[in-house]
Amino acid sequence: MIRASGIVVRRGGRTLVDAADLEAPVGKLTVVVGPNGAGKSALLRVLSGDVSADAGEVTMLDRPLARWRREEIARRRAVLPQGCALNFSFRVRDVVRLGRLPFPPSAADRDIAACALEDVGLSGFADRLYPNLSGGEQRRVQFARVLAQVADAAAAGSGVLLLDEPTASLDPAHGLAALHRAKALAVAGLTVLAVVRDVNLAAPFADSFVGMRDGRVMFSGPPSTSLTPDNMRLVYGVEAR
Amino acid sequence: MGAIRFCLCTVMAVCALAIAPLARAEPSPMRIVSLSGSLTEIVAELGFADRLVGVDRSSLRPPELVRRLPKVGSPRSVSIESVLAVSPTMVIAYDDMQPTETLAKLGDLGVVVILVMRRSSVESAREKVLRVAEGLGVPEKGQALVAAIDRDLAWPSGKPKPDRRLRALFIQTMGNGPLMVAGGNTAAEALMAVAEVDNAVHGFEAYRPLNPEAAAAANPDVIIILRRALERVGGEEGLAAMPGLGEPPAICEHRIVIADDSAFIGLGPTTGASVRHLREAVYGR
Amino acid sequence: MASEARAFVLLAAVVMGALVWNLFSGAFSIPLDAMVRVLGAALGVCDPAQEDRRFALVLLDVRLPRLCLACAVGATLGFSGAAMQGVLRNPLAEPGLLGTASGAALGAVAAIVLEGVLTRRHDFAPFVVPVAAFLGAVLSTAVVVAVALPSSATLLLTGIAINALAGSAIGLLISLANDEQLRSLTFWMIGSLAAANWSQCGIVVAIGAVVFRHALALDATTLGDDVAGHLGLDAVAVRGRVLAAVALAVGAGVAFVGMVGFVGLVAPHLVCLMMGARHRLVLPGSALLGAVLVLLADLAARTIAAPTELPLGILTGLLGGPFLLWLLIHVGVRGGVS
Repeated sequence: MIRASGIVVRRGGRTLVDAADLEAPVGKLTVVVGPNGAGKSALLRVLSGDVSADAGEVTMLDRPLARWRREEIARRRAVLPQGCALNFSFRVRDVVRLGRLPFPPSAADRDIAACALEDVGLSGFADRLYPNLSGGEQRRVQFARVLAQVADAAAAGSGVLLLDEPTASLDPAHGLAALHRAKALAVAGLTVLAVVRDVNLAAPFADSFVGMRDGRVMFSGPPSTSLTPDNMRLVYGVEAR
Repeated sequence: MGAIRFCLCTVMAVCALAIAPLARAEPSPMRIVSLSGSLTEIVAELGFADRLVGVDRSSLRPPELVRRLPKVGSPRSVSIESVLAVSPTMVIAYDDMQPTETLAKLGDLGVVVILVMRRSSVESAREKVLRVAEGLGVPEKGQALVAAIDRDLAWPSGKPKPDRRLRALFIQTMGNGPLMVAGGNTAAEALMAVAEVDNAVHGFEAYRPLNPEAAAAANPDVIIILRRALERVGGEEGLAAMPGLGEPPAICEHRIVIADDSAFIGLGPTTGASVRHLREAVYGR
Repeated sequence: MASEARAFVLLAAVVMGALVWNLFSGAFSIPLDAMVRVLGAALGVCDPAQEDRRFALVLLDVRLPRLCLACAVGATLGFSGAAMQGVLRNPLAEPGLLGTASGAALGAVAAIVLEGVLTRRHDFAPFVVPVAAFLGAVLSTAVVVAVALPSSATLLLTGIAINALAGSAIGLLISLANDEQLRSLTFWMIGSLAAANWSQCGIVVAIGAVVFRHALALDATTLGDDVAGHLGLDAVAVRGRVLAAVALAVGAGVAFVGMVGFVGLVAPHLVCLMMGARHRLVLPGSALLGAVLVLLADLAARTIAAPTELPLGILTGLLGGPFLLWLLIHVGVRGGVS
C-alpha cells in the first residue's frame, strides 16, 4: 500500500503539490484524475522517487520511502513514466528485457518478457527496432517493460505499480486493454496507482478515485461517492452529466 | 585611443626621419630590431650587440643579451606596434617574414629595413653576414667574419679526406612521435656535405617525420641531433630506446653529435664552427 | 542472435586481416622466411639466428608494439565512444566532447612552451609532455563532470565550453612559442604511433573491463536517469564511473599517441547498424571496429609516404569522415538507426 501525507512540491516559485494526502490500498486500482497542471504527475513523481518532496511523508509497502534502497524497491515497484525518449536502435525485446534488470539473470527472463509483450498485444514485435515503431506502439513496449518488472511482485501478490497516463497516445481499444491489465494486477494483490486524464475511460476499472486541482486533493473515495457532479465541477470546472 | 596612437607613431616616424641623416654621420643613436635568431647573432657578432633594442622570440643567442631585450613578436607574426614601441631606426628581417605589410609600413614610417634572403645553402651564411654588415655600415667586419667562417668550413689542408664517407641522420625534433629528420634541400644536409658526411635518408625534401622502420633501414653511422631534442628524449640512453634506433653504428659506437639550432637550422655565424665540430667528431680531423 | 554472432565473426576476421596486413607491410622489408624464424624464436619454438638480428629488432621492437598500440588505442576510442553515447543518451557524443582530447592537448602544449620554466632537471624531460597531457585530459574531464554530472544535457554544453576554453589557451601558448617549441608542438598535435613500445600497451584492457561491467546499466541509462532509477540503478553514479574510466583510458591514449579523431564517433555507429544498440554487443564490437580503423589508418600513415610518415589523426579523419557522411544520409533514409 501507499500512504502519502502532507506532500508539498515547489519548483521555480510555484507550488505544484500543496499539502496533498493520498492513500492507495493493497489490491485496488486507485486512479488520480484532474485537469492539466493539477499536480497529478508531480505527486506521482514523488511516489516514484524521481522528485523529493519539500514537505510530507510517503510510506510504501509499510516502510518510509526514504528507507527503501534503490535496488531493493526496484524488485517490488515498477513505474511507467509519462514520456520516455529513446534514440538508440534497441530491439523491442531488449527494451522489455531491461525490466528484468533489478533481478538476478535467470532462464525465466525470456518467457517473462515474451509474456509481457503478449499482454500488450505486441507478441510479433520482439525483433523490431524500437525507434521505428509508432508512438502508441512505443508506449505499449514501455508498458510491457513495466509488466516484466512487476511479474515477480504480481506472483508474490505484493508490490506497487505506478502508471503515469498509461492510456496516453493509445487508441481506445488499447487504452482499455492497458487499464484492464492494471486492474488485473491489482486483483492479483498489487497496489496500483494510475494517473488518467479521461475519467470515463477509467470509471469501469477504478476501485477508487482521487481528484486533484491546483496541487490539492479535492476529493477521494470509491466511484459511487467520488464521481458526483459536484466533485466534477470542483475539479474540472464544468458541468458533468 | 587609436588616434592618439597614430599621432604618436607619426611623431616618432617624423623624429626618425629627422635623425636619420645624423645617424649616418654619427652611429651612436642607431637602434636596431632583429626579427630572426640567426640575424640577431650576426648583429651581435659584428659588434652591434649594445645597439639592439628588440628581438623576436626565435632569438635565443647570445642568451645574456636576448634575455633582457623586449620581444617584439613571434617568428611568423610580428606586431608593428611592439616594434614601434622600442622606437627603432633599423629593422633587420628575412624577406619572407609575415605579415609582409609590416615591413612595408615600417619602411613608410622611415625605419631603415634590411631584408635578408632566406636560403638553405651554406653560401647563405656568408651572404647573410655580408648583407647585414653592409646594412650596418661595416662591410670590412663582415668580410673578416666570413673569412673566419670559411676557415672553419674548409677541410684542413694537409689532412687526407676520408676513404669512406660516413652516413648521418640529422634529428630535428622528437617527442612521442616519429623522429623529425632532415631530408634533401635543407641547411642541415648542406652542412653535412661540407663536412664530407652523407645524409642517411633519401627520397624526400625538407624536414619530415621519419618512419621508425625507415630509421632502422637507414642504419646511420652518425646521429646529429639538436640539443633540445636530445634533452627532451632523455639523453643518449633515451635516444637508444627510441623505436628504430636500437643498434645502428651511430648508437653502438657513440657517434652522436649535438648540434645547435642556430647553426644547423638558421645558418649564422656559428655555422663554420659547427661544421668543424661535426668534422672533428666524425673523422677526428 | 545468429546475425549478431555472424557480425562478430566478421569483425574479428577483419581485425585479423588488418593485423596480418600490418605485420607484412613496412618501410623495412622483412622476407617471409626471416619473419617466420624471428616469430618462432620469439615464441621459443626455435633458436634465434644471428643473421636475423636486425629483422628481429624491427619486427619485435618496432612493428609489433606499434600494432598492439594501434589496437589498444583504437579499441579504447571505440568503446569509449560507445560508452559516452550511452551515458549521455546522445548518439552524436564522442570522447572529444568531454574535453578529454583538448585538455590533453592543452597539457602537452603548456608543457612544451613552459618547459624551461617548469623543469630545470633534464632527467625528467622525456616524461614531462606525456604526463602533462594525461593530467590535462583527466583535469579537463573532471571539471566537465563536476560541473555537469547531474544532467546529461548540461554535460554536452559544458564539454563544448571546456573545448573552446582549451582551444583558446592553446592558441595563446602557440603565439608565445619560439621556433623550436612550435616545431615540437605541431609535431605532438598531429598524432602518431611511431613511438610505440611495449610498456604502453597494457593499460587500456583493464579500463575497458571496468566500462564493460556497466554494459547493462548503460542500456538502462539510455532510457533516462528516472527510468534507470526505477530499475534500481543510480544513474549519476553509473555515469560518474563510466566517464572516469573513459577519461583515464582516452587520456592515456592521447598522451601516448596525440590527437586521433573520429574513431570514437564512427565505430559505435557502424556497430549499432550491424548488431543493434545493446551495450553488451556494442562495447566489444566498437572496440574491435575501432582497432580496425586505427590499424588501417596507421598502415596508410606509415606506408603511403615511406620513408616519411603521414599524421595518423588526419588519416582517421579521412577514413572516418566519409563513413559519417554515409551514416547521416542513412539516418535520413531509415530513421533512428543510431
